[in-house]
Amino acid sequence: MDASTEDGSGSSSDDGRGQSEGSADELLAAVIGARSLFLMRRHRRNAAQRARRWRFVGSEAGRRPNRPRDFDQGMRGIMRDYFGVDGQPPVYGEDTFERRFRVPRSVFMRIYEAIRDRPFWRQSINATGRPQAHALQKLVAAFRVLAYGESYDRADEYVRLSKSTMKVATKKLIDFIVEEWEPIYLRPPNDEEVKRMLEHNAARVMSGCIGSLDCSHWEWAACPKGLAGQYQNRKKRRSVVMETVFNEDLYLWHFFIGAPGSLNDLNV
Amino acid sequence: MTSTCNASDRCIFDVVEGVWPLKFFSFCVNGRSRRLLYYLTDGVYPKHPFFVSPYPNPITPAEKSFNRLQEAPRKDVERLYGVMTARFHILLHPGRFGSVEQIMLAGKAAPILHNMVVEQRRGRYVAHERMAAVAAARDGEPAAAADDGHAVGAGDVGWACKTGNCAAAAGDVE
Repeated sequence: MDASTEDGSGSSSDDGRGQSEGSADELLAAVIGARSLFLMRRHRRNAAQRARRWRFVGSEAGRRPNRPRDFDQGMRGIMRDYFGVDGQPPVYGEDTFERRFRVPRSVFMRIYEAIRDRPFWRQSINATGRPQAHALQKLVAAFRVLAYGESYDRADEYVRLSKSTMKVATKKLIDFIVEEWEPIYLRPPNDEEVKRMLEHNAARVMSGCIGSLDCSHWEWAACPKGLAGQYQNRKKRRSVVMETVFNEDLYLWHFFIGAPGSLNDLNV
Repeated sequence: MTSTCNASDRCIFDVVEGVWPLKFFSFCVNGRSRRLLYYLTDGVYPKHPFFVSPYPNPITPAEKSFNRLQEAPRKDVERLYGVMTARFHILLHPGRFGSVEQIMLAGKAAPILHNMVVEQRRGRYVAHERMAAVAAARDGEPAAAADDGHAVGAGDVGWACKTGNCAAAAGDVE
């Protein structure tokens, strides 16, 4: 644009030059105006982003540095206790493994194999070049929360992960399990299975029975106040109702959770 | 015909619409052929034809024996919640979740894990054969369920004790 106006001013008369100077000033004003507008918008956008930003953001001046948790120490402890290091047998055997994790080792390893290469779970290298926590550590931490029902901070001293990492790990494990295995493990039976169930129940005289149906309440400690009246059960506690249909070997064929605790069994 | 109830949350609606329970199976009771399958419940449920509840006040010997037979499979209900909450204590303690979606997801994950354990542990039941069929359908899926021994070493987890690297990493920590 500038080059063309200069060419035009060089070839044309004084009137044309005056016009072109005027247009150059206008152009300059327009450019300055546009730039200031752009800067203002960017400033506003950044300010809005700053206001909206998550509180727990990474490293910043004035923030507490990451605690020097020795991730490798936690991993070494887990390997020593349950998997064995350097050809040594693990400290705890199979029954202790199942008691602590509430699942057999084969189920645990199956979950681990499925989850180990997922984005959150795989071991990453952070900006300073140090390796972060191993996938097994996060899985063990999440299983501690599920199995013992303990707070996220509880297993910090053993697996060397912060409570926020453990919270994220638990949530991601729950999401993964439901997304991956709900179509397999919580689907209704097909004809073959119904036939088998009928045969099995016919041996127990109740022929034609396809399982038992029952409801139970799961108390909800952190129920929001807005839902408190809706979710209050007959014992004046907040709870959600779980409804199940299952076999005599305690295999669940149908599971429904989420009904407010104010509902009786027959409403669910 | 194989799976008439697709979304598991819709089971009651399927009952109302007559899709579920399945009516393709007939069985014989007292010399009569019947086709409506039923669930065992207790007395609090409404009197639907697919719910079989015990007599509230059994008087005749027939009623008493029916109650005894009905309660024999029915008692497992009380076991289920005991076993499941004992297995995953997250269901035992009051849930600390902020929304219904989160508590639903957490509540679903525990029964899924429970089912995985059950089909692993009790091989002679229906579930085991079903899972075998699923595995066969996916042909050649590495059956991790097969080995229950602890032949799992450090190499399987993909972690080796790197003492030298550990010391270097520990030195790097500010």
